[in-house]
Amino acid sequence: MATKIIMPKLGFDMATGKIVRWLKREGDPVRKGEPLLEIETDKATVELEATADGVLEKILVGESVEVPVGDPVGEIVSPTERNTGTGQPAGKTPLSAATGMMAAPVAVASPPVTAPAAQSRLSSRLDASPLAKRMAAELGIDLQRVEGSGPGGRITKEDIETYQVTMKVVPALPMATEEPKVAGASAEGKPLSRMRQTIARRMAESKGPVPQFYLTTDVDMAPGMVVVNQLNEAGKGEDLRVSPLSLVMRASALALRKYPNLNASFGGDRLIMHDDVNVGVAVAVEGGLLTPVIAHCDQKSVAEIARQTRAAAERARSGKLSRDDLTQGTFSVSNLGAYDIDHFVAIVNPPEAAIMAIGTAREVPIVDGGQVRVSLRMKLTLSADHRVTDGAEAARFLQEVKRLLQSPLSLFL
Amino acid sequence: MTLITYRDAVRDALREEMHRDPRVFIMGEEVGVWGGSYAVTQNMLREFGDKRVRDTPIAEGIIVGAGIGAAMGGLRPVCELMTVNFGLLASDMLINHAAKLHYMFAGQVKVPLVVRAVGGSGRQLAATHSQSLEVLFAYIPGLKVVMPATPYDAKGLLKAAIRDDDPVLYIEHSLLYPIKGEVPTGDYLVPIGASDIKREGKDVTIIAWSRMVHVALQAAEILGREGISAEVVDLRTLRPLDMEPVIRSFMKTNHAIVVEEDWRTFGIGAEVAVQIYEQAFGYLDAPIVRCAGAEVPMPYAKNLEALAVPTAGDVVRAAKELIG
Repeated sequence: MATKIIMPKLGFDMATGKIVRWLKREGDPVRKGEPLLEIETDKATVELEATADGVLEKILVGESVEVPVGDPVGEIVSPTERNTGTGQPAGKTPLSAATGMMAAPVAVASPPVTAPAAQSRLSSRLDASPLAKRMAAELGIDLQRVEGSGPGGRITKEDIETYQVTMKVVPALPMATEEPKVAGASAEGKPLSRMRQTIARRMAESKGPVPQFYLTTDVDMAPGMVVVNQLNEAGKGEDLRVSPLSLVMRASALALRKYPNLNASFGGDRLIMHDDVNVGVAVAVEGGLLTPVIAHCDQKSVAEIARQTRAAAERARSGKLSRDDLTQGTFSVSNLGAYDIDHFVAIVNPPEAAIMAIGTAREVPIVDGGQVRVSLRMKLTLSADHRVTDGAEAARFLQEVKRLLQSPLSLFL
Repeated sequence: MTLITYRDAVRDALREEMHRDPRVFIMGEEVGVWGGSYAVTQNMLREFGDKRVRDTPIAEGIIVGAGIGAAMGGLRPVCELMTVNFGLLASDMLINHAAKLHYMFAGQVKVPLVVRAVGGSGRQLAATHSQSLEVLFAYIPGLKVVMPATPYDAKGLLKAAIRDDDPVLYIEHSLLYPIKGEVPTGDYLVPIGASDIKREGKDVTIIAWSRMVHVALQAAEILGREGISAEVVDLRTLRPLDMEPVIRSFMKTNHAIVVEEDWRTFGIGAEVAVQIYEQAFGYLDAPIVRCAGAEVPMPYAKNLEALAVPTAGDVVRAAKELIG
């Protein structure tokens, strides 16, 4: 049976993909895991690998053509079928001869070998565990690009998983066509880590195409802190650590239910409304940051959100996040409350529509009924995608978050 | 369920099988009047009489040889060797006769013989009486070798061994006699040739048998507190070796440690490791580690003896190095 090559869905907001170029021609032998073609989504260019060994029998969709997710773009046929299917003796007449196309005979064809790559592979033997090799073959990952953390630099299962999480797709945007010349800079520079490359790409994808606007409000956190302290006291036995962050996550999730436009993604000619409210939390890690996602925050208690956030942050710092941890976010929060930051502006994490930046809660003088008094205040800044929402709606959303935080018992309804 | 010792479990299995089947009898050095060197057969002479509980001369070749003859003649003897070290004196009987007769006589005779012996170290019995010789016998096609670690397995496996039509070497461990465990009150069997998951985990598979199962479990407990989840597989039977649970576990954890009281070189751990390599190469994330006995004749000195056998600490260290 022929194996169909299908346009894959590479993100929940992906509806179509464009074929950039085919890396194989009809009749070329292909091996499972070998790159077949490049496809371009709205976010990145990715290589699509063969899912079976055989011969690229048909190219159904040509280059530069956009096709819906799930549509077949080509077919792979196993060499045996290919021969028996035509009723011809093995290797005599390639099937596609009928269509007037030249195809390489299976028996003599071998995958094109690019000399430098082949040489580097030979000159330094790649040390990877058998499991890592198998996983890389199945996932179509080039082991040369994976950094090994095992004894003597051996690539292990964990390295493949980390690589998979930090480098799900090949960078689409050229990083820098021209290297900036700075006096006194070392000639070679410092190569970007995988994570730094991904951060660079994603942030550029946001600031460039996503027109963002920003709203800041000031929340009275005195009632919220009472609740935080009481929860932590009650959860002392299990070392529960609720923080203003947990409250903001819960409040945001509830407010997103009320203002679903902020729990959406821009989809070109339409808005993609997400059914789930999954809140990503930016976590600083060595060399960058990761955004593990706490799913269904609208359905979880403040304590549960606190527990899961802490566990996810620990996984992030120890490099143990899974792919599930990092995908399916619909909104994000970024908390610099611990860094003595008054307020700041975060960059929307696409394809999400908004992100909330949390500053430090501090005691400040305020004017209340003509009197100056001391109040515990925390600044929240919402960054939102203007293609998805507008100032007034975002302001109402932010007001709702503020209202919930200032009457924190409503977070427990 | 009742909570009984490993020693009681072995005795109960013998008593129940002797009550169930009049062909079953026991013989060995001091099994009758003295009640067994490790008190396993205590009071059995009184209960079953001297026809079925027979004291023998100190002559292991004759104990096993007579057992083979009795088994060929239709009885179901359970011979006791004081320790597996004396199995060397009976090795011709075990290897050249018990293991081969059924095959060489084209199935016309069966040898439903059980030889019980105590193996392992830990009692300052010095080099000649502290060996783990299971590998010598597990090497022989035609013999079955079982090594239970818990009272439950001890009872169920001994009953299965007595009912088995092939010769079975049943090796106990002297340090296990006082340990207690839950055992069903009624009759039950533990199949020969079935490994058993003694603790579930996901990061590393620890494979052991006999007393080392307890070392592995202790290590798993410590590792669990430090965030490494260890699965412990008890082989229970060394021949026929049931690798299926080991392979299944390894495919999940991708890391394995074999803990063995016997010597490392040419030991059981080598066989287990190579079978993992053969059957699950694509699941290997790191070389398989062996925690094995030091390659020296067992020292008599208590402190040196303790150093010659793997401990939970050794296994914990190995696991941490393996997982990183």
